[in-house]
Amino acid sequence: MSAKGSKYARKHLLIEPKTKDVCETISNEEPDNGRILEVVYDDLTFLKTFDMLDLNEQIKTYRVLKSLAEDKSPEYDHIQKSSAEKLQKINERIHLAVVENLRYSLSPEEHHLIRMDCYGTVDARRSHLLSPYYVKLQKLRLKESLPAEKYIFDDAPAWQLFRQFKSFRQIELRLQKYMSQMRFQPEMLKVIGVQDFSDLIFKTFRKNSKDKKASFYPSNRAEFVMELATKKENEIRKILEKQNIDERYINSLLNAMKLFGITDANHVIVTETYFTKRILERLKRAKIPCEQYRIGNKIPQPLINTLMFEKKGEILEARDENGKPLNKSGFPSFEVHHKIAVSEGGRFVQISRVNYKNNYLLVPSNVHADVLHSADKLLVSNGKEAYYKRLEFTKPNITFMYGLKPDEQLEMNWTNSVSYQQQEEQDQEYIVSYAEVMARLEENRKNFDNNRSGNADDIELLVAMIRYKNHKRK
Amino acid sequence: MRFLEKLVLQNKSAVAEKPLQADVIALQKEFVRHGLPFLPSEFICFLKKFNGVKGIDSGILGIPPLQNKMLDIWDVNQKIQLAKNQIIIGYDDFCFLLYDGNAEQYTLVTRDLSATLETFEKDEWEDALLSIIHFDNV
Repeated sequence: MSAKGSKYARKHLLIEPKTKDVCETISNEEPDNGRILEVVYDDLTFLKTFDMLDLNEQIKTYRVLKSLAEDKSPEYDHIQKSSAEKLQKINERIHLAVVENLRYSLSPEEHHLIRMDCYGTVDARRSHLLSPYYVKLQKLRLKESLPAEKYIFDDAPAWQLFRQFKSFRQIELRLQKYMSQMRFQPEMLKVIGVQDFSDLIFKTFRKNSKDKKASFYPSNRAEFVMELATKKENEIRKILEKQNIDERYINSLLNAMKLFGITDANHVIVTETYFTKRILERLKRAKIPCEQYRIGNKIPQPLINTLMFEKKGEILEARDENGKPLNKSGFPSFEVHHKIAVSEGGRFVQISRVNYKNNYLLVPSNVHADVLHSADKLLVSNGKEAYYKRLEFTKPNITFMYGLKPDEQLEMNWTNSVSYQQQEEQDQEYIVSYAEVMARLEENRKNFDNNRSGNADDIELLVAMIRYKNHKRK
Repeated sequence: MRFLEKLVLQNKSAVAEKPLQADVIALQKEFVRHGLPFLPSEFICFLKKFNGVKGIDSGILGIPPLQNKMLDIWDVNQKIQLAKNQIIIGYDDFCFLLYDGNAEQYTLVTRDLSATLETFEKDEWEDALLSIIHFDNV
């Protein structure tokens, strides 16, 4: 945007992407920036000043320093160098370092599996993604259904990619039953691909025929949040209390994390800590026994939990001094970050490790986007994508961070637990190579094609295959 | 009602602010001035109902001014340099959902922009948005 800019830009304080001038960069960030300037210009005590800023100001300062560090104009050489050094120091204190790794990219199919495994959901597959083998064989059903055990998933090359993850192994029986119920031919398993299996999972687990998303397994991400909040409740509470966040939100957030794995402020029902006249009246109206409670008494945790599970948490909803529900936009929301990038999952021989709890980190949304993903870059060498640049942790056990100060991080060694070790051991039995699996699938499909006689069904199959290949080429 | 809309309402995930016609027009002008594409009409129609959606570790971006800067389509696109005529309209920890103005397609790409995982035609916009947003309650 030009210096004068548009009315729109001025109205909404839009930020210039390419920085030309230190003051311009900063003034675009926020009107009152005295302390940010202090961090930029003071080389000796900038960390002290930085620590005095609140989280939002720290993030703004981080963005300014990054912007200045990347400014290649020769007249700002000094400020560029000192900003880069400051950024490095800020990163080092919180055990972060910008690393450049060789590419270990994964196939789109493996990406797809990791995402499904993380969230425990699958989207409806659009018809053109499905292989003609699956489309055709779905129509050629058996006259009578076979027992579920006749569907041997060991025979399915593509399923071996799914089997690397515990979540998919656990639903095998459900899929076998679905296939049996639908009277599918067991031979289908040998020739169907990753997208076909996703469709099978979707159709097995969808609640209604018009649905476009289905949940097939408890999400790994939610499990991580629930366990973390249970095991590190006091430590997380202490860190949040230091930020002057409303105590009622801290209690409600920790509870939502423990019960449901919820970490987004908008989805947290903020409850009162103590009984109020309004709450006692609402309990009475909802015919919930409350004679034993008095105004000012602490609301017992079992009552909160019961109402939450019964989806009646709103009865206890906290109010501000004007009697209105609290404005949650000022409360921090948290997200789960993958410490080793999913796109770099090939770094693990065992790709299911990408979604292991020790690769997860719970972090406020703004730190996640503006700091942890701020260095993401693909580097090209000799015309090829060769390196991947990213911020990574130098300490492997960091599992929670609030802000950009060292005392706002928590460590936890997930690998010590029996369940972790058991899962690791089981997963190791199912490691496969993507290339080998795909070669087996291709061979099965060739054999399938060769064994078919030239009947009318085959012509239909041939046409479907040509369409499928044309689509892939496009 | 579309399935996506049902999910958004069920999960109470939409932001409260509604975009004004003037905001939409002003934003489109700024986009074009910066080499970004016009937002597709079907996406604008969706934004008129839900101007930004916050899911689990994910979001569909909306038209500013928004209280939640993480969902501000202008702010997010200022931070990430894309090819000309492409724009980010959604994110999760794995991917970005882009709209490519040249191809008139939605694309699900890895966060490092190195791999395309799925492409969606304009009439598949609901599938595209569903591919990037995650909910507790499905």
